[in-house]
Amino acid sequence: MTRVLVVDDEPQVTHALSRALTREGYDVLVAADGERAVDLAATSEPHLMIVDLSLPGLNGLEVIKRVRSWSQCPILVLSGVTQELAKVQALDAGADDYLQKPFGLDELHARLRALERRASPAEEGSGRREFVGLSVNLVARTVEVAGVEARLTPTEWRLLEELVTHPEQLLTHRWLLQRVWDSTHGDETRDALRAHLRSLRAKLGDSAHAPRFIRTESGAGYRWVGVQSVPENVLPEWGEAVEGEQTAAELAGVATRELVHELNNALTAMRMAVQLMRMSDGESSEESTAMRASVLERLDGLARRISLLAVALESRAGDHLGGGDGADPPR
Amino acid sequence: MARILLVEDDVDVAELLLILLEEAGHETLHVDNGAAAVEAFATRRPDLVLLDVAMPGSLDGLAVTRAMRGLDEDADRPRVPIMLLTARALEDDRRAGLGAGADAYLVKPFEIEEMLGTIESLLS
Repeated sequence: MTRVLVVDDEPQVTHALSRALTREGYDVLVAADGERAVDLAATSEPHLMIVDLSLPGLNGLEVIKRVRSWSQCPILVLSGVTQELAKVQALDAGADDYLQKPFGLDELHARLRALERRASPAEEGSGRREFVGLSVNLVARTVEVAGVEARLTPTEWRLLEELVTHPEQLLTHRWLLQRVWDSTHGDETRDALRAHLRSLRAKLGDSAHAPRFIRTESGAGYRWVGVQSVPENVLPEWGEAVEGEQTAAELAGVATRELVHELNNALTAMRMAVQLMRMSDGESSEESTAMRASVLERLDGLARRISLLAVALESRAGDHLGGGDGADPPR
Repeated sequence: MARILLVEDDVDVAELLLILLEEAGHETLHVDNGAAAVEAFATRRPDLVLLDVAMPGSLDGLAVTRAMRGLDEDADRPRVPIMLLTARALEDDRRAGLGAGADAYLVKPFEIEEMLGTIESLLS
């Protein structure tokens, strides 16, 4: 089981994070201040750390510096909007990625999965990485853009290699400079990195403003955002519906904004159902009857779904009024 | 009749849209995530895409729209119409959707006639 150390001094944040991460199958440890965080990092050897930058006493930056001096454990930083400089300092001190508050749980889980992948890279298999519009062969060292081979310089190739083998992860300027240029090229600067990146982007037909492959993370580094190709055979056939799971059982951990989003979807569906029933009113063909039966069944399910959402929202409103610990999970 | 790719992660909304589109005589292909949507767009060549903006994971409707527009450009073929479906009614959101390359933007909850009318005008 993956052990995560959550370092934050706000009880409602650690409470909500613990609940959400436990549900995803993580073993969660919590530290409410910097000293405790360093102790726990040393004694319990977590596989991942989530560190808020604003901590009483030993601050988040110090925690990262100390832990980094002996551990390679991936560190995700939580920062506020006004902490741009602190965020950059944290990344330079050895943090691996950051999330700006407020953030969504989906994004948090995705970032943690990406950090786990970086910590234990998967088997490379055939060395091929297939993205929509781009195919990279890491063994043959070739890259095809929309089916046409692109010629890269050795530096551009090393940059591309680091990016595609760390998809969706923030690769900081410092990290890329260390990986792409060895220590004999210590004078390489961020400007040089930017220049190589620009020419790599041009060869991939990518744009900095509307990136399909390489996204610039302002002041921090770059992120590979190429869409991985899904094997054709896992797509459904025309006319086949994808079955999904209702999330009603897990509403307790869902942020209020997402509950409202769910409610809007349910009401949209309900309205469509009613309009469909009206449209087929008076029709007596076998198809119309079957369609009405199917829509009615869906309406029944929708009523149940809306009730569950209403109850979840009502209890959330009660929590707020009572001033208890019913704050939203962090976003 | 058109081949319509529906990208919607909400099961109830998707099911009713599929019924509606099929009642209107269209052939449908439904996927519930961004990556499958881009792949389906590339390999199944739909005539039109109905795309939910808010989807779980890193690939939301706007990123999917940009990826699809990139594929159109790579293949040097006419743009396939993309209609975004969203609960966000703000002007900035609408502008972001159209800026990403969508052709129409419909706010949930919408009227069935409005949606079918927009589909017809995008296909014509």
